[in-house]
Amino acid sequence: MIPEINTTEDILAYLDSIPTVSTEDLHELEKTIRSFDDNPAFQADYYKGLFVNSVLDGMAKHSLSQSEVSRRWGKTRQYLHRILDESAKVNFTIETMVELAMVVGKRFKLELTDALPTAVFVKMSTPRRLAVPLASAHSSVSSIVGYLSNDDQCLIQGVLPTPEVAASCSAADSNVLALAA
Amino acid sequence: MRVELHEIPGLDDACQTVWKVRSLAIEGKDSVQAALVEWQKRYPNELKAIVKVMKLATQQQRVQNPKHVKKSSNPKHVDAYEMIARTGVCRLMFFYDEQNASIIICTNPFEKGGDQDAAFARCAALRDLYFQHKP
Repeated sequence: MIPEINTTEDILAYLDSIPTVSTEDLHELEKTIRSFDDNPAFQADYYKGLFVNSVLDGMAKHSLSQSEVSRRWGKTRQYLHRILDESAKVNFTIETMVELAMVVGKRFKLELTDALPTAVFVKMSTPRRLAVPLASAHSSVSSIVGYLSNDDQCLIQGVLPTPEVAASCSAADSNVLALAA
Repeated sequence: MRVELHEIPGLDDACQTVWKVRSLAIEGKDSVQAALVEWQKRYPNELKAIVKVMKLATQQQRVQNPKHVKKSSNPKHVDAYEMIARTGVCRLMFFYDEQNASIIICTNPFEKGGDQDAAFARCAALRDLYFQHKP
């Protein structure tokens, strides 16, 4: 039974019941959640969810029932149900997704984007070591530029594809600092 | 009363295209962060499922799939929702703040088997508190 929150006393009692979270715990949580993006099974499941949600959105907009969608699509209601259920037993092929999108008044769009940079290299006025917070390094090149511009006059020259390339650049030029993300 | 919003650790704002998701902290206490830390240890697969729903919610005007997000059916709770870890017990109550920005605010955790109506009521009460005290 969850106590109700109606008075200041209720709120204070509720706040007292919340355990304190340590910085280490939060850091561990951040690492875990970031790791999901590198997990193909998680990514596939997420995109299935995104696709199904768009289909449901199309059905709602056009007042289409599952029976009507399956009739227009020429598939059984059971098959459609398994797709909408994000069942692991159904193959979400490109053909399936393109067809179903059209039936519910949408168009399928597929896009591959570059992975986040593994490193950036920076040319600075003087050679020096610089620590970039993990969160900034993961976010984007622009956030790293923003971070560095507060700290030093530096020129971002480009994004390197791998830590190995970054390491070879920084070894060749003492003014180039490779930041592994 | 000091009311703050915390980012969800590990979820980058750049990927949150329609809504930004935040957790509500009152007087520095954040029950959502505490629950996520706890679930990471006790229910790692359910943490994954909840994070998936969070990401879906940030990229859609509204999540249509009732297997992922449900709105409270109790009219007293006005616009209180829950994110659902499918086939699991973990839930996160939340509401949408459209007044100044597009923010999804997670208020409190809930585990299936408990009193769901009371968890929605707590979400509604915390939402009222947020709107009274938000900066």
